[in-house]
Amino acid sequence: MLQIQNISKNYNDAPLLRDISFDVADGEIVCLLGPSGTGKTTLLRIVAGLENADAGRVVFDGNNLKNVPPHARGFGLMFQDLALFPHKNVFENVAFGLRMQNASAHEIATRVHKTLELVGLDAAVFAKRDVNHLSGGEQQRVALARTLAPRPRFIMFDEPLGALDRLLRQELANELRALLKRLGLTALYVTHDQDEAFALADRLILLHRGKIQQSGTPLELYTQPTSAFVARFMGLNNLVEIRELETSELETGDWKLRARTEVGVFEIAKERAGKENEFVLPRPRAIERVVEHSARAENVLRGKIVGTQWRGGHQQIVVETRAGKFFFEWDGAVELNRERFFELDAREIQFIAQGEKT
Amino acid sequence: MRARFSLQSLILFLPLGFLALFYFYPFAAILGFAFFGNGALDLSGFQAIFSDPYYLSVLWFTTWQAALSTLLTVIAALPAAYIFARYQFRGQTLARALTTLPFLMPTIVVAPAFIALFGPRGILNVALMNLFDLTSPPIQLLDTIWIILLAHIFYNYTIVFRIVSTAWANLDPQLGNAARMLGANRPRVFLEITLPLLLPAILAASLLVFIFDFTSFGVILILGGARLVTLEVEIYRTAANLFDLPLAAALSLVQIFFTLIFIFAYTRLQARVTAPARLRPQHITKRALKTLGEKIFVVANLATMLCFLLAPLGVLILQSLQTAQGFGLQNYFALHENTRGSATFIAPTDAIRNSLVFAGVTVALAVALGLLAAYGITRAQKGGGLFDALFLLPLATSAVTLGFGYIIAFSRAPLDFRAAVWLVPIAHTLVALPLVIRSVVPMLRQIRPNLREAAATLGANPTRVFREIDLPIVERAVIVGAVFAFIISLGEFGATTLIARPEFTTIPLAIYRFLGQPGLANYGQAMALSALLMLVSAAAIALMERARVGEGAEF
Repeated sequence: MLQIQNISKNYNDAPLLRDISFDVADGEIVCLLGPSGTGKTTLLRIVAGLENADAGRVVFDGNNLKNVPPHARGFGLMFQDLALFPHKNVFENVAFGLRMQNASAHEIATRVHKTLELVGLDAAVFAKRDVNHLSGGEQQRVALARTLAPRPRFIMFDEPLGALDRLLRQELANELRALLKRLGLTALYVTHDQDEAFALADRLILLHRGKIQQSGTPLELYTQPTSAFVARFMGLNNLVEIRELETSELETGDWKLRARTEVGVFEIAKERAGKENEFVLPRPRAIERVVEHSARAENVLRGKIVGTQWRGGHQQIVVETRAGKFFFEWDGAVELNRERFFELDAREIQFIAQGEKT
Repeated sequence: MRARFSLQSLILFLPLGFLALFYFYPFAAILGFAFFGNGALDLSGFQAIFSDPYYLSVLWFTTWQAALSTLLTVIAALPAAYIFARYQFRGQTLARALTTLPFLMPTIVVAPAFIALFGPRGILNVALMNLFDLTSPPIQLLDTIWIILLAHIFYNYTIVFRIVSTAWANLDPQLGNAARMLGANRPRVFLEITLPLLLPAILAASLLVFIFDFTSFGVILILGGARLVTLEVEIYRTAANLFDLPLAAALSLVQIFFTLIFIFAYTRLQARVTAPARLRPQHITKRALKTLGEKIFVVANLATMLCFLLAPLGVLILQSLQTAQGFGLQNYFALHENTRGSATFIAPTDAIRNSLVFAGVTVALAVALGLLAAYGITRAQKGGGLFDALFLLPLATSAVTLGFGYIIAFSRAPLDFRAAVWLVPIAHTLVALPLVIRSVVPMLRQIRPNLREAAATLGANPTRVFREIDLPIVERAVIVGAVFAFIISLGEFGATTLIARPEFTTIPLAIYRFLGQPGLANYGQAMALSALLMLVSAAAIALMERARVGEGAEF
């Protein structure tokens, strides 16, 4: 099991990573997700031993790796630009790690063959090929085979699919997850693409400005973002800043939170609020009714539908309000450009912190 | 950071010192001689050059022969450039490699090869005389402009061919198709689309060829006779025969001035050529030969090209085997005999030994200094480009100018090396150094840090990383550089003829001497020695082609 403990790193005297701690359990695939320039790759390089942290420890199976050089860690790393050895052919590239383990020629041959087949390359066709003359997708597979062949006890990926187009990326991400699970590998995967992360990860760690913003399963991050930053990163953009917040007790004994905003008052059960309440987040499925006149005093938006589009079997509507555009799934009838009241379900409204500014 | 910098200056110190002492110092000596040759400021040399009709005619001849040679080279090479860019056929790689052979051959091999083909004793004349029972050779090309033009085309064909065919291969055929859909016929497509897009590449190649033709020495000296004199030959004669050093210095400066202008123009053009608008994978731009017409067109072109480029070299071997007694190896056996019984005679075998020793020293020096310089250039955070350009300068200086600079710089205090044999390999090293650096630097740049890191994460310790990554990649570049240095040293003529001492003559000097003496025996020995030099150079080039990986940068 890998433990990252309080890692900090400065770059050009500015903090790049600030006190990062998390664990990766055996057999788990963890995705480090975040916009570019947030120190994800640096963190990976620190785990690999290619860079030193200014503070903190990397511990694997209870051993501090501080004085273990990269080649002795037994970790695999697939590089962003693949770093295939241009002077070695496909076979020699994949065999490299095994040769470093002083494996026998026979063992190398069988293992390289098996690994190439594992990543979907016909060994008979590809073994002797020049790596410089492979297609982009083939190079990705060779790089993956090279990383897998020496059976690393822990494997890392630095945006290995970044160069591919969206469709192929999605497909390869699914394929890669299946492969990693089949081999029972423990992996840390860096990407800035949330779709890729959703396809791959058991657990997501959202990194921004050198800090962990939130970590959890893809579902948790999507359904319970703790900050406006995380919500936006997950594609939840219905955010309104809270101007005034009050707590009130109902006759039933339940506590309610009331938030005053530019577009009206929102009221939710106290359990649904976070520690800090700075933004209101109506979720995509929050609309209960669209009406011409509403008697409600809270949890209602006033605006007009200015656009619709089909997304994954749902109709998405764009509602223009005084505080900008809101996006909802709504399968009911739509009348464009008419002033309407959108009554929202209190259970589909969250109060969250601001988090890092984007 | 400070510690790194000092290490860097240390790495660059040796090659830079070498360059300063053996390039800039002789260069400064030429400057000094041109302006202050007789103690005080004296511009009479320049005055003479630009007023005397003789020098003006030399300048004019130098220019027009270079221009005409260039034009003909471009016309000759364009069809092959097209074929190699647009068609896929068997033997393409080999044919492409063969075209480089003439370019890498020493001038002192090419000139005898053309004599062997077109000379009075040459294979064509002998055949025609036998066939038609003639008493005098019907082909009289020696000492005319025609043989110079032919030799220049032969020499520089591959430059135009390679640069233009690469540019043509990168040209998107879709553009031509679009023009055709808009109603342009094939000639229109060529004139309005292909030619304008190829023009930068053609111009860059032309300028490079022009520079080589402008400063051509061995070809003109040997094939041009007494009347056809270029600036380069004139510098040589003024320095070596007339001993008018201030005038030779002035002539050198005039030549340097012109070449610098051309080189500046070339580098500007080159920058445009190396940034193609749209790169296309080869399987889109190239197609197989389909129709009979295409096949005939390609085969005829290839045959003409290879015949023209290889015939002179083949004929050279044939002629070296021709003796008074018919075919045999006598010319080769005679290489160690003192046929004239002269006391000052130095056997060609001694010249061979000297050349091999000089070449060995040149290879060692050029590789050692080249590696240091290349590491310095690639590691430099700032100024890498400047050093790169600095080390390329010797390539832009003609051989005769360099040799002449050595004569005047190292024949007086404080650096009186007149008696020093080692000036010859030093001069050769200077010419070879840019090529060694040029072949190593791209390879070193190829070793991006992440290759070493990838090896480390796969379990290679630092020594293993150096052995598995750095060494094999640089090794091939070093072999390529070493072969360049070896060929250059073996065949170097212009500088060596000015600085070599008579008792340490080299193969090219011996060939030149044999060519200048009458008689069948001397002719045969010149042919034999040239053929030997050619075979050794060809073997070295073959070794280099094997070491080369992928398609590197051209020129």
